[in-house]
Amino acid sequence: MITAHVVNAQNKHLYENEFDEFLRRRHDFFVHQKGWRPPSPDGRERDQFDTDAATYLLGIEDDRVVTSARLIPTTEPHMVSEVFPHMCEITGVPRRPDWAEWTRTFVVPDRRSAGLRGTLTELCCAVMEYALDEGLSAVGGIQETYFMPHHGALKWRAEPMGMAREENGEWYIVAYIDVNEKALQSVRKILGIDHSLLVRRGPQMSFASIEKHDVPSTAIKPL
Amino acid sequence: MKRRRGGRREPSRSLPGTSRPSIYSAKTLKPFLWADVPAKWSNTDGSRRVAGEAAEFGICSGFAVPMLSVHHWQSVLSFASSAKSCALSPRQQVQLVTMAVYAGMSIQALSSDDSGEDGLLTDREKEVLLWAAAGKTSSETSQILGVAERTVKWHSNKAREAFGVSTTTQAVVEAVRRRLIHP
Repeated sequence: MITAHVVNAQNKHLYENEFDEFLRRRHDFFVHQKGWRPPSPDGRERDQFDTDAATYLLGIEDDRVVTSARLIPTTEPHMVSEVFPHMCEITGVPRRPDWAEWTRTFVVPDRRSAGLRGTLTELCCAVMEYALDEGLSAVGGIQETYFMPHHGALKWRAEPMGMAREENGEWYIVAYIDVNEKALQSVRKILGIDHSLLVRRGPQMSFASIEKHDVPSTAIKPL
Repeated sequence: MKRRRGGRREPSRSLPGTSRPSIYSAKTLKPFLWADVPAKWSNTDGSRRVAGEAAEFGICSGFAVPMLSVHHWQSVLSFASSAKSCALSPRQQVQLVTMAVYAGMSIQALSSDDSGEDGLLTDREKEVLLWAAAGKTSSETSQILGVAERTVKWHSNKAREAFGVSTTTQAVVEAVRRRLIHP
């Protein structure tokens, strides 16, 4: 079982090694396995959305970063608003402080599994727990249509912002998942757990205050 | 519209699972027109036979959307047409894929009911329910399994308790519905 460490601008200094490992695993996945991004000379994958507005959940198991998620308030520039706004033809691009964009999720090859009880579902559980903790009402963004049934299997409800579309030979859809206690309960039931997967170390900033990240001192939460 | 699922055991006679779109859907993650399946899979005797049989029922062409299935590795939603070849505009393909995504999510939400239920019935309880499904009385089942009739009744009682139902017939129905037994 993973523990999901909450890493953002406030406590990143505590996670230098883990964050570097995370960027290297991202490079393995998004450059070599998916072929979505050009190789980077330093073997680390970053994009324009890796800013202080991002909060990362690093899924750590046996001292390795095995999975991850990146959450960005949709009020900040994010992948859907900057790159895929045309895929929100039904609703328009959502820009709400309580809606987070969820991107940069991978699972290292040796932790991928068939079935529902695995690392990916653990990460999903951690994302839902974090979102609920932070008072968010939806998480989502651009996703591969192929994997959408996974949300159904978790009994999560996902609202489409537009139609599915083919981009560069792959099919994607922009959809946001409802955040609520029921969604957390159902994924915990599948995993057979009733405890938190989140670890918060060092100074913490509430997600809702991120848009004011130039004045973080007003938003420090106790450990 | 027909739904087909991967990972199912197929009897030897020709069934949808042996058709070219079903086989090809195990090779690609992308939606495709049946007509675009490479000859390697569409040009076999088995595939031609299935296509011929399907045509008799007005299933001539179609569009398939492969998706993840958490319990069966992969599933495919196939939209069938009686037209000799189905011409779909890019917009229509977009609509079918979107529809398939939501159907796929709903199907997963229904079919993942068995997660966490693996341990609901013991092997012996399943065996007793299977014989009940085959029309055997407790006494007959006890002879088949070589145990006392009292033991058979005890196992069927346990199975009824597990589902919170009052008759063995109800327990059989529940066990089948939850895919714990496959009579």
